[in-house]
Amino acid sequence: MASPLALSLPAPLRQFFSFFPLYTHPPIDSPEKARPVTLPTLWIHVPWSPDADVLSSDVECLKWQAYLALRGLSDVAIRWDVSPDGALDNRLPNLHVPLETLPGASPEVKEQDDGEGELLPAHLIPEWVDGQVGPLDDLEGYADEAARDESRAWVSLLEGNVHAALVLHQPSSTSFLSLLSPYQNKTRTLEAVLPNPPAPLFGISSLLPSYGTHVNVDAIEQQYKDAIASLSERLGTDKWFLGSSSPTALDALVFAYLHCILHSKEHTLRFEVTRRVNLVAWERRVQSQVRGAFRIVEALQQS
Amino acid sequence: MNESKLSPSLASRDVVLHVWPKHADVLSFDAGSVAALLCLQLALPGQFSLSYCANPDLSPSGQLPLLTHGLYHASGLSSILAYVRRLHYARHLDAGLSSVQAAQLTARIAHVESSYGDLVNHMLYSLQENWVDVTRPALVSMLPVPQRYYVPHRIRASHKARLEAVELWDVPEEEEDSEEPRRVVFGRRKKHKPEPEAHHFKKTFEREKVAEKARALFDVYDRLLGDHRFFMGSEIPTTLDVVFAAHSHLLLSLRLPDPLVTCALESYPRLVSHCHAVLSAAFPPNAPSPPTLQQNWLTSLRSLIERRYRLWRWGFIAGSLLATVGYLYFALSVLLVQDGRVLRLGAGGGEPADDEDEDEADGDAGAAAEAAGEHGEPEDEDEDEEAA
Repeated sequence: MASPLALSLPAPLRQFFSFFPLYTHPPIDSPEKARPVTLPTLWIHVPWSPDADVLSSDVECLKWQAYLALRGLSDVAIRWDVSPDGALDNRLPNLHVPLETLPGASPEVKEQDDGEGELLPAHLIPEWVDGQVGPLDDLEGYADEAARDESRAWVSLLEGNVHAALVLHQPSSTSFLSLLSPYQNKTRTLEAVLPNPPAPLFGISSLLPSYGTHVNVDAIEQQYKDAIASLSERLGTDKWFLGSSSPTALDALVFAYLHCILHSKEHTLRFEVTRRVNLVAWERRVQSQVRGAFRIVEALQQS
Repeated sequence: MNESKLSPSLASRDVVLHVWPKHADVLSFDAGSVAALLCLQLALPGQFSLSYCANPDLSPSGQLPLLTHGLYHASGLSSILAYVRRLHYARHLDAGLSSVQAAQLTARIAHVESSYGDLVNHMLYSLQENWVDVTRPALVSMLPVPQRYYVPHRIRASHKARLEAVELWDVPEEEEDSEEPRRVVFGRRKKHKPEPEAHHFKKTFEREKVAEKARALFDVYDRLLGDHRFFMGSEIPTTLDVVFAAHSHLLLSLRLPDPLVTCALESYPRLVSHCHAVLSAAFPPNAPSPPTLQQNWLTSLRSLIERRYRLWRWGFIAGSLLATVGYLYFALSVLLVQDGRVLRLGAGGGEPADDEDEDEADGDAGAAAEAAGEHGEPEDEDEDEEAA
């Protein structure tokens, strides 16, 4: 078997190793096999009511769901049985696409697809969608350059003030097991959302080491109320935000936040939005459009 | 409206604005404080006083700027702006705007506070050269002695979470000249490692990304300003002008050794002149500056209120020291007396009570006592035998 020049074990060593034999077991077939990916599948957090709904309960996942739907995609599959630890960079949503839909893939790669597909993190989704439905022009779908500049301001208002209020009132369920587990969920904490860093719990000049945050709850709630008031004022009776003729990324963002606020358990948050009829009506209209683009697909097949 | 949380030492009948102290040419060392100061100067000229304090723990929410009016307080820039808007004798800065424009203003202020604020914090706290040469010495000069050793580092660490989330943390500095003196001091212990090419490219690429972000932001506001004096063609500075100019003022007046974002700003001359226009509108040349409250009366007032507690505290310490000294004195004197009796025992005459005392003698007080006791005991036994 070995060539005459190859090294071989000396006899005493071979005898010693014979006391520790190597067993090779046959492969174990699991009863569940992954179904090959034929539709683009979005991995999201579980919806509010899993039996009746496809819209996620997490704001980040819902943003991307709305983006996919409002860009004009249809027939996108949904699954929520993947834990965030299994996602890229520990953050959902991820998009699992068949290789033939990848814009940058060469033809040889597309032929070799055995159903495994490619997993894209959230920030690569717009590029993939551009490959599917065509790229956006320079104005990104807004009416003019001034509207595009204004959209930046509205994005930072939503992701700053409104998101801070949502994070503040989120029920943080930390069970004992989650403290022990080595996998931590990387949700955006309040310090990352507020523009000015909040003070530590005992003050910045106390002799105790810094721990916790002292959050100015009144200020955050006041900013949230101003934000919702100005959002409602700006929408007025338009069909899409900022007077665009077709839905844009800003509409997806606004829809995601409004939907999450209307489903949150906190009364003060919900009341601000339900007071404003135009926001509620707008959210309801967009909801039906977003919901129609998704369907639930069984990801595992029993063999 | 939280009136109960404010300590009575900060109460006064007038409007007082507490901000971070001045440093070099800047009005205050924090963008929010500068914005609050400009807003009050425009809305309530001559009707408020200013207090420079470097202790953010005086504020109920732990953050400066802080506005106190009687027993009412408003902490943080947005609360201060909202309160000034509600005062009936204050000039309303956004009076000339329609409701849609006012709604857009709220969004734009949030945009400036988050994006521009991140860039300013990146310049001050993230870039190593700026931190070592300007920010840390400034903070150290403002703080009193025990705090100046640990509070600047804590302030820098508190910005880390937000800047990491927007990818503005840990951008390497321009040159490593700041490390040269250290290498000389250590002698030939550290060899100068030539920088690999890939690392150099990565540094320049990351600096370019930050400059790109800054230019994208300044493009938006340059287009919004157009050729007007203030945003939205208003006659007097609006709240958006005040907040934007506060951040620009901090960048333009602080002479930072690593001017990454300042260079980007200076390539937009209209924005630079906008900053100067807002400042000259807020501080006209012949108007008096707001009166500054000194800290001295605050500390003396506090000492008046807390003198009773100070008496009790020092009284307790003195009393416990006295008790310790008294205890030790009496313990030693009892042992000395025992020694005296023991010495007398060694000379002659035994009493059973003294035997017990010798047996109970403490180990430390008397190696001497025990030795004397040992001497005493055999003699006592002898005497007892003789007595019997």
